[in-house]
Amino acid sequence: MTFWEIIQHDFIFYIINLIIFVTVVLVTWLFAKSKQLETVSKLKTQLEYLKMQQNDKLFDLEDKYKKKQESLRLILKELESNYKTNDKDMVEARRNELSNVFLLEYKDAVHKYARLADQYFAEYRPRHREFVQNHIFPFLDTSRKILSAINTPQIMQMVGGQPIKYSYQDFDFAFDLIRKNMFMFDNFRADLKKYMKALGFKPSELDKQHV
Amino acid sequence: MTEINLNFMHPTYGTTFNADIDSSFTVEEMITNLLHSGFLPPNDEGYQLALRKQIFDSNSTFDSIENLYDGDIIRIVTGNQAQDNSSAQLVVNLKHPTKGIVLDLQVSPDIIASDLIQMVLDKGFIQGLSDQYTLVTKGLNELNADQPLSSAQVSHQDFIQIVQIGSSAMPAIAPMLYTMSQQLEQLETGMTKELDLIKSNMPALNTIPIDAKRAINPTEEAYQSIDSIVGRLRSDAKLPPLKPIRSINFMPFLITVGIIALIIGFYFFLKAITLFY
Repeated sequence: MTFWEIIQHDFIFYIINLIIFVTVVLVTWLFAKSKQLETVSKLKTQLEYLKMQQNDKLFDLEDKYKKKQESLRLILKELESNYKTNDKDMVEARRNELSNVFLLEYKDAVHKYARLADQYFAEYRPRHREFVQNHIFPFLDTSRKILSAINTPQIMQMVGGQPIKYSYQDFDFAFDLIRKNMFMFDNFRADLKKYMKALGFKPSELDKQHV
Repeated sequence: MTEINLNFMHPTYGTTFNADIDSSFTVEEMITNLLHSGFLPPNDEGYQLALRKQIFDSNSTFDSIENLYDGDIIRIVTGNQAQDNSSAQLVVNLKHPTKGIVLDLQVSPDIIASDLIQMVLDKGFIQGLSDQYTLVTKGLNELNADQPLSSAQVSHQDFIQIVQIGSSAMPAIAPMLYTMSQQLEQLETGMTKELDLIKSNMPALNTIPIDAKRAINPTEEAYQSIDSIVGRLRSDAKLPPLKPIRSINFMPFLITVGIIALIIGFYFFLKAITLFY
């Protein structure tokens, strides 16, 4: 008997075996797929829950840094009123207080907020960029204003002190976040350089290694 | 076997010992049990049991004693006291000057106040000297030291208050209770009025309560931003105001130029093709 005659002779046996094989494979595949979908949905739920928790944390940190900003504004107001009344001791005290609160409280609060936001928006580039535009640049703006107020010549003359300078490390988190979102022909690069100059840093310091 | 619950009063301290005893016990057996238990110290004159005016025979059983009920206080008297008490006709309840405890004693109606105070002192019910105390009978009558009880019309089971000289005499209980109840009523009325006042001042249930933390507290001073404060400081120092840092974004301009260039290029390309063909 030839090969095809053998096949024709046992045709039904081969068909039935094929059907069984296909059925087993299909059932196994369907079972595995359902398990996969179940695991994926569980992970999605967990992810959503974590996102919600992070969201709450984010709002909480935003509130905190805004409170610190408000306290800076009040201290600055006090500094101005003491300066107008020529109270040298109070001006000196307020100047020091302003610098301390800015560096130890406000900057730290913004740093924590930025750190969480960086992780939270890591997968969403447009939101990351938006965060930098809405929070990091305003932070640098506030910083240069505070620095300008602290180092006003009349105030320094009154208290007899030296100009206060901050170090690159105090602002490196902000500069790094801006650099992450820079594109070619972007205004971010130009703004960053201007803010660095306003804060007393050279744009070339960006390329140096800071430990 | 029937049991009876009785309290046995110590002859010296007036403290009581409560026990459920078999009513077939004799008085002597009970005294022996009290001695063995340590409640009574050994006494050469021995002890006897008495209830009100009656002194029990040592050989009599408890179930043979008349008018003996559950909760009765049996006084334990020494041999001497039993002899003294045999002629006594009066049981008086003496109230401690500061604590709310009562000592009942069987005394002669002719006993004078100072002797009665001394008797109470000997029993250890009160401390000090007899001239530090005085006795006050019903109706706030104070007995003189050498006045007998019979002259103050003290009758059987009457209460006599022992008062320390120098402290105020205790007023009668009935007027005290009356004033207390009046005070309570006044307190209740006052409290009800206050509650009504509080309820009337509370906002209606359907109004949203003000959240004190978020309520805006307007002040006369206008809000001054960091910008304006820094601007004023700089103007005082004759410095120019800080300019806002806002660079021009060339990206939209370049995209627009690119699109226009593409359109123009495409136009010329089409023109070139038509020229050839």
